Amino acid sequence: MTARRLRDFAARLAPPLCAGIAMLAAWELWVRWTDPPRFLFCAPSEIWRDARARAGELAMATWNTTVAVAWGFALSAVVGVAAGVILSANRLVERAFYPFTVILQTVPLVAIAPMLVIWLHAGVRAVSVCAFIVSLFPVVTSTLIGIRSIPNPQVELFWLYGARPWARLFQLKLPGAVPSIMAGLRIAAGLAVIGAVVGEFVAGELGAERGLGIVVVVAAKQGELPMLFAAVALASLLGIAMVGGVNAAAYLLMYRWHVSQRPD
Amino acid sequence: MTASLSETPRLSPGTVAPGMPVGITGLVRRFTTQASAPVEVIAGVDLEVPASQFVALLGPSGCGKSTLLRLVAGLDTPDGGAVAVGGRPLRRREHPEALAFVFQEAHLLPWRTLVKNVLLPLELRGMAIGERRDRALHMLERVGLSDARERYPSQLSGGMQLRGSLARALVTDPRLLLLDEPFAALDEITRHRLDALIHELWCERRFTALFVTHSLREAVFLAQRAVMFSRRPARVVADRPIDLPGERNDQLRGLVTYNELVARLYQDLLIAEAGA
Repeated sequence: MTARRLRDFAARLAPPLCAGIAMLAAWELWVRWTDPPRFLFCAPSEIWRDARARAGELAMATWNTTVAVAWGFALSAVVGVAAGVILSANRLVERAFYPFTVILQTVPLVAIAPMLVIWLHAGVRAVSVCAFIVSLFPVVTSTLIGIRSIPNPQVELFWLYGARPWARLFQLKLPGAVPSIMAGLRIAAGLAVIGAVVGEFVAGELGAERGLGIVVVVAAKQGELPMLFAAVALASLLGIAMVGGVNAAAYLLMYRWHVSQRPD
Repeated sequence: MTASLSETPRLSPGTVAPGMPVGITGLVRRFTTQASAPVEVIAGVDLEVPASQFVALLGPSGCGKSTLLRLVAGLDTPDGGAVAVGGRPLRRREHPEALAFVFQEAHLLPWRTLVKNVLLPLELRGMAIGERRDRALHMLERVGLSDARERYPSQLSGGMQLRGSLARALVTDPRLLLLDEPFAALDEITRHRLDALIHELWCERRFTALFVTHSLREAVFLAQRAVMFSRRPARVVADRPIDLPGERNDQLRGLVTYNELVARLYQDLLIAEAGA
């Protein structure tokens, strides 16, 4: 049984791994053959070399960004689900407040980040709030849609048996909305990484607390192309890890009953 | 009222409370759409259902039978007239007690196992954990689903899901059971089995039943009385007793009287369809 699961896992992991290696190899060969100027382009092997040379610095930066992403994402998960529940409870409340959540989605982060610096000072708190703002909207919307999509007879069943509001929330609305909420969290997880990195451009700390966004800014200014690539790669890995975490949570919550988790 | 049940002996002794009578007087329901004038769905229906009677509600599709059922359950509010359940008028947005509703589809909660679905009504009414589980397990045994108790709805066939929803409806020992075409989507054999099951349960518990169906055979098999509604807006066009032996089984389906009753209801349906 475990041997089989291991084999299944390998079978899932092999295709993206092979594709990734093939693309890296093509990139490496292309750089070696055409030999572009190094301030314009560099090879994967050069990125790897520089990244190893400054591994401590990159690890610290990745950790600092991870902390901001984790805070921002956790906050948007809690606030987003709560806001979705509140909006779903009343049409009037939804009509009054839903348009304002769209503002969160459309206002450019770089435009509000300076305000956050004024209120919170540059640093992990301001960066976390950036990650939070960018990732909030999909959680609110998916919670709202999930609750609204619960079949009418199920709602009526709870009414017929005189269910209390708490029972309606925890036994019907939240479990019924879980598939939709998970889809929203998956989008939010990636957005939180983008929010934190972009947030650091404006609201990041420069000292020992600096994150991947600052590494990107500094490397770009100093023309250290390999460091720039390394920081981008680490940010993507962080995003993949976040989405993977949400997928794992979705699996644990739904594998017994929801079609989205059935084996292929 | 022809087929009152007072003379029928109760098949199972014990604690089961008898059914509740239902009184419907001058019931009117209109639906307003923004596009057009209000559509009258039910136009002055009067219907007296004595305690423990099994009544089939028949009529052309979309005639308002389901709306009538929803009004009796308090899931919808009438525009005129009144519904009384158990001799007491139903107030607006009141949770009716001792009433259960079986929907067209099973609508089990997909994230709960079968047994947890069946005990849900008891849980919502605040019964203690051990007791509600015992009662749900007993009910599952009664509908023949004991082996499937820990399965999730997605792992059950359509017929099993409907049996589960029947168990969920009956676990509270309702005195009025409302069924809204519950078996419309099933194959013939499964449907016959479930009809037989409902009949058995009704014989045991003697709840009052209002059963909306499109199948005349099902109506004759189960009911003591068949009420035929006209095309929308719904009015009663025929109200017939079904005089068949108290105990219904598969042999009944071959009887001449059974088939005559089905044929007569078919005539009623043609009249109703023509828009009497």
